Amino acid sequence: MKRMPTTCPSCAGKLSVKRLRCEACETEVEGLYSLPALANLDHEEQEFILKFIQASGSLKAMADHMNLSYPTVRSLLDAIIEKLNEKKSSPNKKDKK
Amino acid sequence: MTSANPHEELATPSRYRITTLLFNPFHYVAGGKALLIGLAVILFIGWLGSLKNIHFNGVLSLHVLHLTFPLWAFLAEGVIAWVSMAVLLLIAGKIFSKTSFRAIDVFGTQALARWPSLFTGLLLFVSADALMRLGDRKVQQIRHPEAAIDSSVMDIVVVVLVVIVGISLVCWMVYLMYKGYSVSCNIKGGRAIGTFIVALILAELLAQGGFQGLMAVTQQHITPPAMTASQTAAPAMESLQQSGEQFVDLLVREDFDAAVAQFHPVMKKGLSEPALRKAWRDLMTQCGPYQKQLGSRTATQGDYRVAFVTCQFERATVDVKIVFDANDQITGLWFQ
Repeated sequence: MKRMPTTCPSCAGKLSVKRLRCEACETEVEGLYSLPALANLDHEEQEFILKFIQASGSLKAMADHMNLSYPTVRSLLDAIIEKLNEKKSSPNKKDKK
Repeated sequence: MTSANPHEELATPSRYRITTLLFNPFHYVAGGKALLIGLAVILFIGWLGSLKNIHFNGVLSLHVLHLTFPLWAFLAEGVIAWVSMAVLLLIAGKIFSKTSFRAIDVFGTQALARWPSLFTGLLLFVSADALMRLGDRKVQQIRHPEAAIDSSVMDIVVVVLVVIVGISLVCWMVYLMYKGYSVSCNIKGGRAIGTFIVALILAELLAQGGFQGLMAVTQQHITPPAMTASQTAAPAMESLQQSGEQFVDLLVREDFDAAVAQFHPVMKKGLSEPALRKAWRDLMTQCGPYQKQLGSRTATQGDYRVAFVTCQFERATVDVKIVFDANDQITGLWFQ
């Protein structure tokens, strides 16, 4: 499945959603919608969040599943938290490539 | 050591990499598991040290000493060193880390970080005798600088190799301790390095204090190096020097009976009292009247100890060379 881009390939600015389409009835909705915060994460980071939720928020279970130590998994989560906080505090900031 | 793609580990189970296992095992193991492994290593090397008086008496320092502890004290040395470092890093982490962390991870990673000391312990175990011999000889040389106490070339080679390999192992262990701190407290960069160095210095002081406490509790102290068999059979070099000077005094007073009384029976046959008297008077005829002793020194030649007494005569300076055997009897006398 193709991955949805979240940053502009021309200027690295944040992308917004302009058009949504219904696959069932082919209805299209146009507007300007900002992407949810989680959509701004990398695919692997999104997978990590999903697995974290599926593990009921247990870092220990995550560490066992990923064959990593607890502090390593903790630091991965902290990195994602920091990234989300940065995007929240400066929503219009261009992503660095 | 991190993977080329840092996101690779986020979604899929990680495979163990050898370099990461060697230089950052905390990427894979921390907490209680690391604590158990590390504690097993610490206690094992404590037991190993008890067999040959090897003391891991600091965070980094270790010594082969004439200091016999009960087994529990040897085990306690390693535990004290580990706990000293872990506690100080925990404090540093609480102050400088931006995220929360578990104390068990700090203690566990610091315990596991000491695993290279397993190799250090084994290295010292096989070389302890050579280290002890060389150390004892150096102490004897300091105490008796006039004595010619030689060290075995093989002992020197062994010690040099031990030092080179030992330093490498200590550097590896320090790196692991740093990585353990960085991973468990989630601190990186200059802040991590700076706080780690400060904690290391303070922990070493703390551990040394703990070692002194162990000595007080066990009522043990570091004993002077034991004399070797050849050394215990002979008078100390200081008394040898005195013996030589006293013999020369007998010659100066012309108390040749007392001088000959110190000779070995074989020596008496070769140099009787009249012969000694004649030799001394011939010396003064040649070099002038005796004036004073300028100094003395000693040396060892195999099983014999030699005292050199430098004497000032009117026209010359003469070394009186007196050879003593293991029973303090004079077996040789030269005027040089």
